[in-house]
Amino acid sequence: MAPARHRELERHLKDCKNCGEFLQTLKATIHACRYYGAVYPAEISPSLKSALRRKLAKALTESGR
Amino acid sequence: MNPLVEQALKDWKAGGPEGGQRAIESLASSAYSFAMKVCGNVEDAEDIAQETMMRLAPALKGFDDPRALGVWLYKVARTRCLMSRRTSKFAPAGTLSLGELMPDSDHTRIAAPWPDSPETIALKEELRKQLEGAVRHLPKPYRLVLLLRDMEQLDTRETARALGISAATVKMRLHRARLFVRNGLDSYFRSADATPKPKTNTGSKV
Repeated sequence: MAPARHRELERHLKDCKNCGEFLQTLKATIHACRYYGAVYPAEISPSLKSALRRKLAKALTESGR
Repeated sequence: MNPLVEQALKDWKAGGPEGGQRAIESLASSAYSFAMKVCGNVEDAEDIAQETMMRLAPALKGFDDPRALGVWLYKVARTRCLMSRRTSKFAPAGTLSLGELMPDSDHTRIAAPWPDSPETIALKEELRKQLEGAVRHLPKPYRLVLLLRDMEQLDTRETARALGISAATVKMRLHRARLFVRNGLDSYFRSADATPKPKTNTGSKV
């Protein structure tokens, strides 16, 4: 964004309560998504772990592990 | 960057069967978690996690950079997600129009502050469901970008590589996806605010 346009936008956000609130809620959305992504990794089931162990045994052997 | 991916590479490099096993489980968890958010059902997500790991495991020794490994993992998982047999129960199609997502230019609808913090939105069950619902109702191309940029914390270039699209497209989709989710949460807060709360006498605190 051009510096002049950026300054104009900053001035508007400072003076316009509506746009200011909108921006705050947009920032809150981004922060909530990041927080959610960090605290809610889905757990894999024990049966999937077992299946992975079986299926990957061969692949791991072939890759030299 | 997803810390599980970083830890997985450390475990893998540490060597030994236990390290290998931990690495595989961490990477499978990352693929499963991502697939659950994209596809919305356990069967698809389990299939995708397994298929992703079958592709990834033989190639693991070639990775030194966890960020490159993350991009590769999401690239494989994303391809599998798009090929999944079952259609997501959410799976809306179409594109998001910026005009419909932005507030009225004449400010006829006054924006209101939200009563809860971002952390509360992510943690409190009812609010978390609103967030999950808004994300799941995003058309898939937008959902993939939001998941990788905001939830898995890849940067713009990595997201573009994982999805096979340009950085400009990532930025455009991310902006619209964030607006869509923001509007979903805002609608919830407005309706919650407008609905009289029933009086309860349980005295319980949430």
